[in-house]
Amino acid sequence: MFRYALRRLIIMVPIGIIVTFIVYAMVFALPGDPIQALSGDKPLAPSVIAAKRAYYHLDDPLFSQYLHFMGNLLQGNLGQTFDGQDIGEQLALRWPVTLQLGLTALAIQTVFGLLFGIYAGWRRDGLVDRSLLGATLAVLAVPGLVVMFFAQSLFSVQLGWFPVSGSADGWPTSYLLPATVLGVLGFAGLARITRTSLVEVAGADFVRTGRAKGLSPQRILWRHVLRNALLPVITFIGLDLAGTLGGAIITEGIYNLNGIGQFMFRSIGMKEGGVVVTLSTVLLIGYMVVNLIVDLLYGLLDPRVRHV
Amino acid sequence: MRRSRHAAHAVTALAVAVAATACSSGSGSDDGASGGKKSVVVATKNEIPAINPAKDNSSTSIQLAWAMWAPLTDLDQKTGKLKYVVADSVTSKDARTWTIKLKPGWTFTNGEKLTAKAFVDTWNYTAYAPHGYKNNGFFSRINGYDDLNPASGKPKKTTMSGLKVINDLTFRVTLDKAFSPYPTTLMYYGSVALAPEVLKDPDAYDHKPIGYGPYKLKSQWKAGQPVDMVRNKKYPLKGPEADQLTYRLFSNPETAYNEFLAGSVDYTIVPDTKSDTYKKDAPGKGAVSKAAVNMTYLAPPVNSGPYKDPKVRRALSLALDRKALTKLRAGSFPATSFTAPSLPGHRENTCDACTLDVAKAKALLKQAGGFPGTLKMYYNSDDPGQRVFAEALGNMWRQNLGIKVAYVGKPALDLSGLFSKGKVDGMYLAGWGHDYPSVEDWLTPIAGSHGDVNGARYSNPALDKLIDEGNALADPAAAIKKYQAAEDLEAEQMPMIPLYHKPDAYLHSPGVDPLDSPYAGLNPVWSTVSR
Repeated sequence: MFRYALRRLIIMVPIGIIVTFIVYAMVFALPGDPIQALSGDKPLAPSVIAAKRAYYHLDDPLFSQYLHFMGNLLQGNLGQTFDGQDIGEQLALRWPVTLQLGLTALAIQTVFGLLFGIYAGWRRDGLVDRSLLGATLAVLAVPGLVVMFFAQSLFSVQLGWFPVSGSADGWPTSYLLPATVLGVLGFAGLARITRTSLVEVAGADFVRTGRAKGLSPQRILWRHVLRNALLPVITFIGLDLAGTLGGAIITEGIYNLNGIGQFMFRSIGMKEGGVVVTLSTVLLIGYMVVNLIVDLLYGLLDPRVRHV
Repeated sequence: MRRSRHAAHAVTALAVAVAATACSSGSGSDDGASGGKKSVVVATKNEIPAINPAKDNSSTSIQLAWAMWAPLTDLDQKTGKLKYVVADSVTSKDARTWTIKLKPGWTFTNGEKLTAKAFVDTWNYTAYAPHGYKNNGFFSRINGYDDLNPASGKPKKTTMSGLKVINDLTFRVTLDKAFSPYPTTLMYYGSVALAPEVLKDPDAYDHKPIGYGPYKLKSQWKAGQPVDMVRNKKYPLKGPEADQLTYRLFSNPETAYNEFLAGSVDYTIVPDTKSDTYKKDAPGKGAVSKAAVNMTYLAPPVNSGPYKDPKVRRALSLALDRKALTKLRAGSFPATSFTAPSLPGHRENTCDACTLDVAKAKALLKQAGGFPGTLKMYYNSDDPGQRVFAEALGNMWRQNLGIKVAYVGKPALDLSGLFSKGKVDGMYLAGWGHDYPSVEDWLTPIAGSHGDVNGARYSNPALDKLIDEGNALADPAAAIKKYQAAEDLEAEQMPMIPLYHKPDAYLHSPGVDPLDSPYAGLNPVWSTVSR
């Protein structure tokens, strides 16, 4: 088990290098000139443009730019954005916001998704199951952006239950509405996969055997069915954590939460290669760690894939 | 100044003022200790790296500077004439060497005196290219600017020869060429002084600026949080009415709008997407700025193909129905001249080709030998409204002149990049808003050779000469005569095709009225508060 985990961790290094380079190259390939983007309201003096380009090595070939960046990164120097903000400072400021948003959303989504999914799957073709199908289709069909603005104007502007935007009120007040919206949007997929997986397992031979043995339905559900049915669900939740961070980009914009998502969005717009790669690297590492945890959990749940 | 990215309208996005006391949801400005005090919360665009108008001159930074600094000169709100604020006088005999005297008694919030040296040091620091300060170009008229901004390599000097401290309160500025509107340019908050303490290590003060304006920071500003300000007791003049001022930064203008509707914000610019519905959403709270300090115009590629002929440019302009076009831009009105209304020296109807006259347009185009090939109409593809507008223009040319039109959509950033490099080979929608209230600022940047936003690379020695002659006259009235002659030449040559002006629409809570002057535009920092 330990050796397996170690092997997986070592493999992360080359993958990390390759992925960060690809991301860097992608940002590099975006059309437009980052320093042009910076000038925004007023034309920048040519000398300032030249000074900035030199400072950020923007005229070097892609590969040497990447090496510069990685070199600084490995020394723990995250550098500055093109307009002179300290990236490390920004990250320290923004992580808590995104984590609070993401984890709250994930919790809401997991609770609802599992509850509805398990119930619908266990009571197949019942009222809950049918309405769940309708509800999830509806949720999946409406664009997230629309739901977010709608929720903001209904619950915050008209009813005044929540603050409209910003993180000034702290957790949970400031995060409740955006996290709920994110959670509800993500819940549909989770509920459906839970339900399908449960139905599949509930029809398996060993469940029939259990029933024939006279086990109580509760015991069958909790001890036997769920243990098997939740395997794909765990994978889904793991993958979804990354998706939630993607969703955070839009959510943070609309609810004016100064998190990583907003930073990422702005940085892509401004062609801030360094920032995008830094954020992507952190996301990638997080993603790989989650994946590893999922794989290890698999072993705990399913003796067949136990890692020696 | 504000070159709008979408080439649609150069707008100072303003913001929202809130009685923090009156809002249940957190506006981040109510500390419970503001009993009986007037407080105003303003929302504006997001993301500034620093509160330092020299380092970052984006509209948000400049707005914060309105609160935390004071300008050398300003416009009288009632007459539109120049008045002195920090400066006691700005004088010159030849419009080239300017003597700036400061009023005594101004101090920074850290107790340091505001001196001539502080200005000279700040300006030199800003103009030194390796510092990467965004307001660097503002000082390009000063003698010795080139020493600090060489075409390549590191500058050999750190100070401009054209700046000289005479005594504590007087300094002399020598420009490389005579420039009569110079005193009006000093209204710009990018020309304020930074405190000597700050100049030792400006980056350390990004979040705790030291100014000499009507407000100062309540405590160190944290990026991503609202900017809370209280009255600056050291401000020597009569300050604005609010005791507390808070700026909230929004990355999404519609979010600010929703904050206003929720009552947690009292004053916001209406986002474009809401220009049709704001009157219904917030009845009685909407208003339109008295000033239209911007213009949207077409920049034809004057150096290529049929566009070289002024007759063709006039014909293209005459074929446009501006009244119909303004219907697509809520709150806008047709432009009839080449400068912004309300400027000293602005005249209505100087553009005789700016009215719809299909017969005349056809005749002119025929004289010029028609329009061979296809007219390329560029538009910004980030914004669906831009495509509609571009097609409206194209349809008028197609129907009125029988010209074939092709539409080329590109992301705003790419498009403005191409334009600034002079690589747009078709009609380009541009926007401009002046930096300082002089008609000269509508001539030089757009139509002067090497103009800041002259992406069409129009170059006309006769026009340049008239502008230069105006610049060399120390008497503003005489200078304006020359600028008007230059504008008349523009009307003949049509290097730009004026379309419309669009004053900002804004929302404000009852009892909070931003300063709204036809000359200077909107300023929420100087709101009157009567509630």
